[in-house]
Amino acid sequence: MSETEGTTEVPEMGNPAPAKPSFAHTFLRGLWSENPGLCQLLGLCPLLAVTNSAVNALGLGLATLAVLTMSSLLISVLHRLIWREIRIPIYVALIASLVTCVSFMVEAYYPRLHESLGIYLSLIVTNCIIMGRAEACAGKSDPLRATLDALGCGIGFGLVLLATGAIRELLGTGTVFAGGEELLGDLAAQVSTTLFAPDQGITAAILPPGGFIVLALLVALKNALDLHRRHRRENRLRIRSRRV
Amino acid sequence: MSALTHNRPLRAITAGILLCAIGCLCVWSVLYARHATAPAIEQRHMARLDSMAATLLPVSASGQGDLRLNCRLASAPGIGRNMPLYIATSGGKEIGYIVVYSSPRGYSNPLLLIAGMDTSLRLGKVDIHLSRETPGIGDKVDRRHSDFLDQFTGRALDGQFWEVRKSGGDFDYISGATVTSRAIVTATADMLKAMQNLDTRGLAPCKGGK
Repeated sequence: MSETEGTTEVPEMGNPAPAKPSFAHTFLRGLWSENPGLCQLLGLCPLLAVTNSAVNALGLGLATLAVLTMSSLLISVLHRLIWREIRIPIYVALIASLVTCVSFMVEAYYPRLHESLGIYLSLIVTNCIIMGRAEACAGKSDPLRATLDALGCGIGFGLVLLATGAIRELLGTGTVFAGGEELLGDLAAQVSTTLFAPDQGITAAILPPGGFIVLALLVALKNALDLHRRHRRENRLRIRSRRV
Repeated sequence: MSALTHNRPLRAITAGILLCAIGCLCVWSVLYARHATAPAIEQRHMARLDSMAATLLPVSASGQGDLRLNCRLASAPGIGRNMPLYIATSGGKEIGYIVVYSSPRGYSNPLLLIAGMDTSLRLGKVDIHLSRETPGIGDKVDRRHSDFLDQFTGRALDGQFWEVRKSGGDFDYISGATVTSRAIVTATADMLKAMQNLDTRGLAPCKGGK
């Protein structure tokens, strides 16, 4: 059955569904081509507010990843019950109660984690990336695909946070991963490095304007890389055609 | 199913009921999670407070062994409403107080502070009890990030101007966290003023009999 369908290309009579992206693509697009931080510029408020040190950025990144994965899974499992007309209030209710339950449990059973991540967890309720993924992907795909998509976006956002946080911390205070032992235990105490004395730093980098500037530079870097790659591809094609 | 897609009033009503049901489910799950975790959270809170209390009193007051804390509820401007106030006794003699007080001047309430003092109201140690200040900015005053809170040790209400240096006072502040620094300095002064006029013996005991 599959053979005949695969070999003969019969145009479908109904509306042809667009080809589903592969699992790898679903995962990878969140990392680069549809990165929530660099392309969609979603979740700017927590991104700029929290990324003045690498450790804070990592904390928010981990919290976002966990909540995003859970909410996407939940929404994709329930997506038959979530009608189009009422989807937004349902997303809001589901995400808010999920985050609240998770923060209760973390507070009760993982007190150390709660002390370092607790504030980020409640920031996440208002994070529009989670709504964005629920609307764009989780609400209309199967649980596996939704989870992969959420993982990709979560990790992509986390990496942007981490990069912004590390650059700002380095410029502003001359350290990287200072105070990481609260979040990661003794492992981070070795990662933590000091490059120069804090009073030589550019204080503006830790203040809000620094966040905008660093993020803009990162976005510019990504666009430049994309542009460079496209140019190379087009140039290669042109040279080849001239020879022929 | 086709009736649901074509009959618009029916679909609207069903959607409403569905939304209601999911909303109720969400509320129930939050209430359940709160109920299930409340004892563990409460227990952890008390344990943390006990270990904190032992280090908060001034060195002159503590260190005599046989330390007992007697919890009372204090309500006064400068302290807050129904804040726990611990009367520390050693060998039947009052040696100091530990008080939790709130500051309305932080960035996001509640900002709860805790301080220990001896009976002449000389401060032992001041610490953050509960803070919702912006992570990375307002939490710089924290003991983990700076020694801002150490400057209160040994101070009393008289003899200093309770403001940050930026406004001509006697207290250092953390640049970038001036609002939180000032909130802590002024709240501590208000608390000490309130303590002078407070009749600690007349206060109601805490619930739970700690």
